[in-house]
Amino acid sequence: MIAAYKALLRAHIGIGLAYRTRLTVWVLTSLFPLLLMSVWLAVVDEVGPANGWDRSDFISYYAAAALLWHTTTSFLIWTWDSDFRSGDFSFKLLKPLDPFHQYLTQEFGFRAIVIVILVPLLVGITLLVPALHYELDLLGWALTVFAGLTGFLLNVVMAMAFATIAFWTTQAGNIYSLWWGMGAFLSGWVAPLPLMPPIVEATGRWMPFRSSMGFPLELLLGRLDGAEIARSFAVTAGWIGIFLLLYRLSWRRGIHRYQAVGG
Amino acid sequence: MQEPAIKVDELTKHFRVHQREAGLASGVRGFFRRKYADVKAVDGVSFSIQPGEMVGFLGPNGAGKTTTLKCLSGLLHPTSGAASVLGFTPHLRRQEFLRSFTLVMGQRNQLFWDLPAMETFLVNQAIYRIPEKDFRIGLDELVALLELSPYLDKPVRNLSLGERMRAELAAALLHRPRVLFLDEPTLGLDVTAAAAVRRFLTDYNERHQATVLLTSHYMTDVAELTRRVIVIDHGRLRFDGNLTELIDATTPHRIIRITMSEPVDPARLGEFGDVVKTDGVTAVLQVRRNATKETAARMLSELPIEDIAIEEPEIEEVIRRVFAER
Repeated sequence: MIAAYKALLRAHIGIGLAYRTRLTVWVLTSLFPLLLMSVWLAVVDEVGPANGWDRSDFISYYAAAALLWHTTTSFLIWTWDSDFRSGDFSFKLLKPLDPFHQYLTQEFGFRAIVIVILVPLLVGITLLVPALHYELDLLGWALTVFAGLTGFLLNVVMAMAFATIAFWTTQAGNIYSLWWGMGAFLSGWVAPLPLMPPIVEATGRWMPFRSSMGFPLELLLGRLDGAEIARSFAVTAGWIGIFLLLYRLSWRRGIHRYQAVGG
Repeated sequence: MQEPAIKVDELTKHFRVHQREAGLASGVRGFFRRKYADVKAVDGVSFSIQPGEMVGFLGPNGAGKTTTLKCLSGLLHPTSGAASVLGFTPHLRRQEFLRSFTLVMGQRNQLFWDLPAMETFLVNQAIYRIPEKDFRIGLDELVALLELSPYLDKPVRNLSLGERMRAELAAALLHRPRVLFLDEPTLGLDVTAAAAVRRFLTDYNERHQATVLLTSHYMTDVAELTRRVIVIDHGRLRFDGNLTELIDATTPHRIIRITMSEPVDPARLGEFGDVVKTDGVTAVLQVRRNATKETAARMLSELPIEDIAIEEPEIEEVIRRVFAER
């Protein structure tokens, strides 16, 4: 299994690096969170700190969000959708390695490239821009990285569970978009959860979306106490378990319906 | 008697397909009320194939050939009936089963499009858990037989169709599968590339005693690679037997080609059989199969024959006749 992961990771990193323009454009989409940041900075300039969040907090939050957007967001469902329509999914099924691992390594491969490009960039910007402050101890950094990793895993497993809807309908990608769109408000992506109305914040803290965005970001800004950190990891683990179970159940029923179109 | 490598018993696969006529009104109607139809892609097909056999699987487009291969590969779950490949039930997709066969689809490939074919080979080595020594020996053999060495380091997207097909075959056979399902493996290849693929498949079958089930619209593939053919149409088995038996059963005539030392009147030639064409000195005649010898002997004694050849009809014609009879 380790050999298969190594070989697949190497191949997917190679694919990611094959087109320089595509990679550059993709990295440039990191700017999206910075647009949201500019809105909040305008608010702070006009009415002062929002709920205790000043300019520096927003800049630090959204700069890290730009990195997290690329490292934890899963695009797996679109690949899966496209594989279903083109027939490439059949090739994955024919191999003696569960498609789950084949898609997971694909996701890891692309993330690895982004991390190599964006992390040094973010470190450089942090050193150059005085407004950015991430004053964490070693444990804080380790927990943040771990939160990003578990958030990414949750996103992948969640996307896989939704992807199995493709066994019943060709609209799995659109259904996932609807779910993910709702999640944007609950994840800390549109705005930090502590600034949302209490009902939205409370809901968001129990939903799966915050695990890959708001949770690691709030950790990074040192805004969470030990109990909240433990609870957030438990929520992430719980949702990973739920989506893994849903994926397995859905796979078992859905694979009977697979029509192997496209070839 | 050996256990068959492939056994298919009353295999049936039905698809539920959305029906939609052309036009906007039909599109709107279909949006609110969907119409579905059951399509019987495979309808109670039974056959078995012994280990090491190479069998041609023939039928017109939409006959159910690819669907049968997909059922045998475990991609599709049969609606009813049973299939067994090397003792495994394909749709259960056991690891050991997935390691023991391959499916090659001529119109699609498993190679990483943006990477050299070698990357796919290395990934397959890891996924199929091929020991390094076996991998090197197998790869060297495939590279030599398929003349792949100039293309190993080029991205797949830059290869020609023929080069890609050869690389695809290498990727599909690195793990030395004991059963090969080949769906149009020479589709779109030029004559030379198709001949190379056929040579390779014959060689692979001889070296590894692999069982091969092959679909192809190119009758040269079928005639060169297989003795036995299975013919299906509309999902039903139409014929299972030797290619020569199929020819005997469907074409009650043979072809006699003659060259004469002087022109002979077509009406005179017509006394020996149906004249397909003649320019006076050369002629092609169709004669009844069971009267071929006697007719040829009469021609030799009654006509100024310089050269005579007795041929079977073109296999394309045989297949055309099989489907014309449906």
